[in-house]
Amino acid sequence: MAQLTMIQAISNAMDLELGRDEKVLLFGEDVGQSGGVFRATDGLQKKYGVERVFDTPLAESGIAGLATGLSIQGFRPIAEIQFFGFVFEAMDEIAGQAARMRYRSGGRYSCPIVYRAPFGGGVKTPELHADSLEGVLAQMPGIKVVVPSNPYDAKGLLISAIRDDDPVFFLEHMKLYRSFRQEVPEEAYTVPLGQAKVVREGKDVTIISYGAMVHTAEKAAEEWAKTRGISAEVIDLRTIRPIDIETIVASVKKTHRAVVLQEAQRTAGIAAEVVAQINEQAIFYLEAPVLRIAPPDTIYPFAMIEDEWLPTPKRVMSALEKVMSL
Amino acid sequence: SVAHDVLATPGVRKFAREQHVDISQIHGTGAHGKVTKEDVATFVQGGDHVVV
Repeated sequence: MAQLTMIQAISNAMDLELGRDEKVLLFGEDVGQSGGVFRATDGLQKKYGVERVFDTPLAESGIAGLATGLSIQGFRPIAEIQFFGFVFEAMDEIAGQAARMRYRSGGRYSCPIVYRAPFGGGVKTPELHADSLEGVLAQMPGIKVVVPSNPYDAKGLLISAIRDDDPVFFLEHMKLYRSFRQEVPEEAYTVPLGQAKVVREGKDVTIISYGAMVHTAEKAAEEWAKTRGISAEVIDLRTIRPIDIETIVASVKKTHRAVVLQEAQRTAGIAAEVVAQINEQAIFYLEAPVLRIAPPDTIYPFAMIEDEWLPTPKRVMSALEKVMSL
Repeated sequence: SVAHDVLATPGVRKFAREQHVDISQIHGTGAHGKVTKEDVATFVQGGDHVVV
């Protein structure tokens, strides 16, 4: 076991999979010799050679198209989109092509691609770097969307994603890259895709979240337990498509109340989908409406005001107070 | 606290809370044993104390 940051755990997962399977390829803008803008691919080109780990021209549609082509030729590409905000350039290749390949070809071809992209707020990035666009991808049949919240899950989920025979979009929150360390096994292990995790047990209300907001939820739950003596259960979705509705429903049946917390704007992200599924599957257990905690429906804010815009533990606590009083 | 297997819509639950009634003490007559608003009203009037 070693104490790793999330970026080290991600790097370690790619290193192990490149070593295990020669069909695994890694490419993107500046991922080769320079080692990636966040050092995620540091040293991997030197270790595995330019034919396995290589730089591409600066063209996201080309990167994603290259991944599609290589994957139907039997390779297992890990394609990096430098920042998730640039995914718009590659949307046709991801959603219009790779996600449909298995269905469109009647199972003759599949696209075992992992797209990696950093995203997320709280680190004062320039425009279109921090945007939470996961909701756009989560609406696409044929693709899985994964958002880890810690180093252990990041490594296990990324290895699962690389071994998955269909496209997986792997979203890495920039604020979590180096904000804390965690015990991570040195060997390869997997964390199953599509499985949420109860990260804090509670009995009075369920907070469903993912990405960096899991930590905001935990802080709020801890503070709330201390000051009010009321206990909140926190669920980390880990995979947002497909959503692990069983874990959510089991928790709601126990607590009878829920809130959904996301970093994406109110009508973006996947909170509305979670609320809809709870309404369909657990309405007879609900004491109160399921509330959403999310930033306002504006463009992602200029860096100097992002702390005002992003959900805080305080905002989560006031939503908890509201859902308990309804 | 409310028993785990009580079925009731949020509206009925709220009605029961407003009447200061523990919904888990009420016998549900709705589909699949669901507690209805009428069940709560009957219970409040002292009609039905059956615990199921």
